[in-house]
Amino acid sequence: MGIEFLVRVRRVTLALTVPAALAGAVYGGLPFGLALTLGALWSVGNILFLEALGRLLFAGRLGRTPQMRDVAAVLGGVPVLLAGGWAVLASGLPLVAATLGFWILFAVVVLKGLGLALARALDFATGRSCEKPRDAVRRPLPSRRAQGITGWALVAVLAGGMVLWAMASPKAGAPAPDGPVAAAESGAASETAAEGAHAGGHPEGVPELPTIPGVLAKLLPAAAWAQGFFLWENLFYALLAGAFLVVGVRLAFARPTLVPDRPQAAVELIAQGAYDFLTGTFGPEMARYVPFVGSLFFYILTMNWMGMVPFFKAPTSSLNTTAAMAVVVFLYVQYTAVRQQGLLGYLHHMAGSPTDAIGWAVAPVLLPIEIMGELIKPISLAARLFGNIFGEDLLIAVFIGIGAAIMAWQPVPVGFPIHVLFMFLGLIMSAVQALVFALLTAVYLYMALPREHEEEPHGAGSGAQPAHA
Amino acid sequence: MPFQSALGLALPLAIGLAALGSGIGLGLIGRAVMDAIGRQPEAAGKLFVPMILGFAFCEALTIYAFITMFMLNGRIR
Repeated sequence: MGIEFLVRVRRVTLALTVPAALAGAVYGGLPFGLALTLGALWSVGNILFLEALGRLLFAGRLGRTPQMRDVAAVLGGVPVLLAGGWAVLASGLPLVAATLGFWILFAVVVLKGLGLALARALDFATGRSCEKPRDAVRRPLPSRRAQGITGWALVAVLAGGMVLWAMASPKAGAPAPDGPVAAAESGAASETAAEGAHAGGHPEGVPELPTIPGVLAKLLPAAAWAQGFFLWENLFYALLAGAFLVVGVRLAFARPTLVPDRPQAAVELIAQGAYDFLTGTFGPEMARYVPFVGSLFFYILTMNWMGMVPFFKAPTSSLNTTAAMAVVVFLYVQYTAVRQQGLLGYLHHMAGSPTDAIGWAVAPVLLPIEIMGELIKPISLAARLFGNIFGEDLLIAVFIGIGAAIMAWQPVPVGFPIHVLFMFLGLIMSAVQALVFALLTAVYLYMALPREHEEEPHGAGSGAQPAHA
Repeated sequence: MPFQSALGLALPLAIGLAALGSGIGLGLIGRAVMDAIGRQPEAAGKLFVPMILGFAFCEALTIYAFITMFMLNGRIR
């Protein structure tokens, strides 16, 4: 804390001012952007003044000689800041913009303070505060070069994307309702206007948030590859989710050690959790299927959570993705059943496991019903996941649109972030739906296994046998 | 009543009715599980999987109505 905090705040504020000013200039006109920049610079000047003052005040205590630079900054700072503030107020530039720019710094301070509090709470909760107090807070400032490269690269990407998006957005006159919404938290741009004439995976009349392929297709309406990319965006994001998981786990296990480092420990913890959960719920014979079910869970979870990331899309909000996974599950369950019970045994099982005359008599009736049941399973599996994720992302998109409409009376490309609540809901729902898909897969697999002990209950959910029994 | 008006009236109503039904169902499941946990707190872990499965099957019905709505949505206009 202390001056370090001020330095960090100053750097982040400067980095945030660039895209904010660009967005302001694009949507509110040049004076708007200029006023925003000046407002932000004015508060950065205040921070510089405070830093110099702090260095002067603590110079004696730290045993350093006060620097002339700081003295000059403190003495000259007050009149310069006062004059600058007056100039901004008197220049006739839009006051709203100047105030907005002025507030960037305060937003950064609040968010950074919250982050520090969270880091401390985490330190405290994990018990690390005992040995290494305020570990996260005492982290040294990043070197100028490292910080400059990553920070400004981020800023450039953000600003470039914003400018490109602004140029691509169809109308310049009334920017607010469906212009980009730089929501403070997510930076998500919203495109609530219905995408008109897109076929395949893009249902009509449904608000969609912009995605990378979507933006590309809009920017390059003539380029066939961009349109094709847009058409196949679900596949792209599904592959991205898979690649993320594979690369992440590979990296975590690049050099596995007996005493794991952090990433390895995290992956081991997760894998062990999945193993314990499945074997604990369904019994030790489920251990074979933990890799399949666990992979499904984390793959679906990653894809679901992708819908929360700006410029990303949850591939599971398309029926094609979920249907493909359901078909895979269906085939694997049938294969397992035939493999474990034998073809005749499986048919016997499907006929209701008849043992006496009455059983054989009703078998011809039961067999079609059971086969129907097997065929309906993947359909309901696919439709459930698709419907939930689609509905949840739709809800967020709709509320981003409402948030943009609330702010439409101001020529500001900022929406009111009322969708954040639904994003939290979405996080929970995504996890639950991934769990449901994986759990149902596990249940189907469990039901496909042969029953040696007939006294055990057949229903898998209630047939949960404790592993430690 | 023209086809479009009928559809425009019926689609939201269908979602609402389906949501009503599965809302009641979800409430019943949740109440039962809460009761059970209240009586026997150590069974919470065992109740989790059946509860989630019950939720999933219950809520799927609304999702079917939701998907039906989106299948017919384009025919309103």
